[in-house]
Amino acid sequence: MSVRLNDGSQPEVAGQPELVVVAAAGEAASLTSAPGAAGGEANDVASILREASATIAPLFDGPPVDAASGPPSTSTNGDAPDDLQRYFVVDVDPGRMEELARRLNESPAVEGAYVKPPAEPATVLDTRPTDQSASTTANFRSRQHYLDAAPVGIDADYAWSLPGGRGAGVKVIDCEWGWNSTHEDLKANNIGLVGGSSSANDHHGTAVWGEIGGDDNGIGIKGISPDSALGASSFVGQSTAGAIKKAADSLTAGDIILLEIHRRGPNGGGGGQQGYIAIEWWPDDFTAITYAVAKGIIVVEAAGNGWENLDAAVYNTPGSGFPTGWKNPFRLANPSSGAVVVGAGDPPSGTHDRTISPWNQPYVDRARCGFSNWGERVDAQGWGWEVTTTGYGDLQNGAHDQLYTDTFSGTSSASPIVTGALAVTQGVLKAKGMPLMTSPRARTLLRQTGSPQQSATGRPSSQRIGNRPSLKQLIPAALKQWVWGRTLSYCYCLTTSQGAWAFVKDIGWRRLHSGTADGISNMFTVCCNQQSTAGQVNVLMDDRYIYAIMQA
Amino acid sequence: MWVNSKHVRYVYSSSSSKSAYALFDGLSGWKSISKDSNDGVANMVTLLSAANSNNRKVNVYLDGDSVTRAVLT
Repeated sequence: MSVRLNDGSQPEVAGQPELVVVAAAGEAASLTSAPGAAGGEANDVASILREASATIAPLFDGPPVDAASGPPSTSTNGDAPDDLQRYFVVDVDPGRMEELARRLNESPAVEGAYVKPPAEPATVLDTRPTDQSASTTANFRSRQHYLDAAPVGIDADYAWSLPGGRGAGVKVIDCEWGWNSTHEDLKANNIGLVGGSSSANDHHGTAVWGEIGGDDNGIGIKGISPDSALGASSFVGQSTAGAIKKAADSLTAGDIILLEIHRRGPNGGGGGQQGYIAIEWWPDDFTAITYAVAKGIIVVEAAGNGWENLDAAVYNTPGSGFPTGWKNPFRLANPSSGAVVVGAGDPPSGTHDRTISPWNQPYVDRARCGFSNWGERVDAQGWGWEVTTTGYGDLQNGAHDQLYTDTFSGTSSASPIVTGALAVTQGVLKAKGMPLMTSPRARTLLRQTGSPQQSATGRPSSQRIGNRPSLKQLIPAALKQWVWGRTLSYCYCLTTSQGAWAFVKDIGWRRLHSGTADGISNMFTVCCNQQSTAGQVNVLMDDRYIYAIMQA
Repeated sequence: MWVNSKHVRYVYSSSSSKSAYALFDGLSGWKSISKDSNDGVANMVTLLSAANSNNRKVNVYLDGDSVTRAVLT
């Protein structure tokens, strides 16, 4: 096996810079009209673009978003999505983007015009194939310690023992560059590309897919959520924000989008991935994420490998050309995208017989990986080193469809672990007829449960990356929830003490949780009153019990 | 045995402990609420009373002339 640090000089795949324009209020239509069509100086944008041999197009495709066809203008899932129709992308030679952005920002029709640096996958190691190949792939499950019982792993066996706990009925779309959809371990539930095209360098996406949904076929690896459907929306041929929206338009509430990307931020430029940050900092990507979250989709976002403190004041300053009203999304007090942001933590020492990371830092289980961004915005962590999955070929080389790695890394390897944990949790909720998690609820539950972050020398737990998910904690916590605006189909009681049940419509029978006899009698009174009058109730319940009831 | 889809014509209770009875359409005679527990009897009275006041039907399980379980439908 050969492994070297990715110094950023030659990223395995890379995006292109993007020039994004945000129209001033009421000016969206004028930005794409011909010179003179909107009358005189009002259409100076067209003249500027023509002089630069540039073209402009809406950033988000599809029908106009309005009250009839689009997402809600306000949402309980996150903050209100911005108006997608105000965003445009300019096609121009990358060398002319900064100058063109400066000129566009002088137009009254433009609220903001900014250049986004090229983005990359958030992996750290550049792995090289081993000499070891095999005609028949062995079973590598014993090397996937991120599946093990907590705190080492995420308690995958626990989830798999539950109905729906293999993620059936849940779709996951990975947004990045390339995937091998013919890999021998990724055949069972592959729904392929929903937008863009796959890069010829497909190792990264293949590794991500394997962690989340690798087939349970007795060979190779096993995904955390092997029954979930795996899809992809590519940044090849689509803007990053456009790819996110395309993914969202392909999913329904409760499904999951994973953003396997980071981009050079205001502290970047010093070499390698230093200063690379989560993409929600850019307004169009933020808007695309809020669009998905408002549809009830969980969005999981890599925090980035820039070894940056996302709480730093520098992130409060808007990028050049950002629209007015932009606020730093890394601050919890500001409007949130609603995405689950994932940092990278060390695996236990001794994993794969290694005790020191390629960064020459001793492995301290659940301590922040040296490269991982941190801050109050980071919700949870996954393994940032030593992830065994599909692709690359440093564990098993040979045919392209039989490649495996032992060293997938970065917030790139961490984010699929959290994604998989959320997918199996959604599967359990779905199997039990319970309402599915929204993205903000997923964030809350990940913060309330899991194996806590630990400190290492120079990497104190105050540099927050959050907890490692534990499905033994997460699933019960997700199951216990307030269910609003339901009716009761039946009530049932015994004459023995504390024997009372109610049937919540579309969910099923639940016993009134044992506590005090008079407390159960009080709840049962409400149940009977509301059932007999077809009145609505709000119920705090899980898959077995009703803990409280509110007459609505 | 289970007796299904009955209207509750009357529910009777007194100030004595666990003292409650019900009369169901189509069934002869008053049926006592089984005196298993204080709160269990109270729950049963709640259920039968809600059915009576809102003209809902119940399924009841009779152990002889005593009601031991009921479903408000």
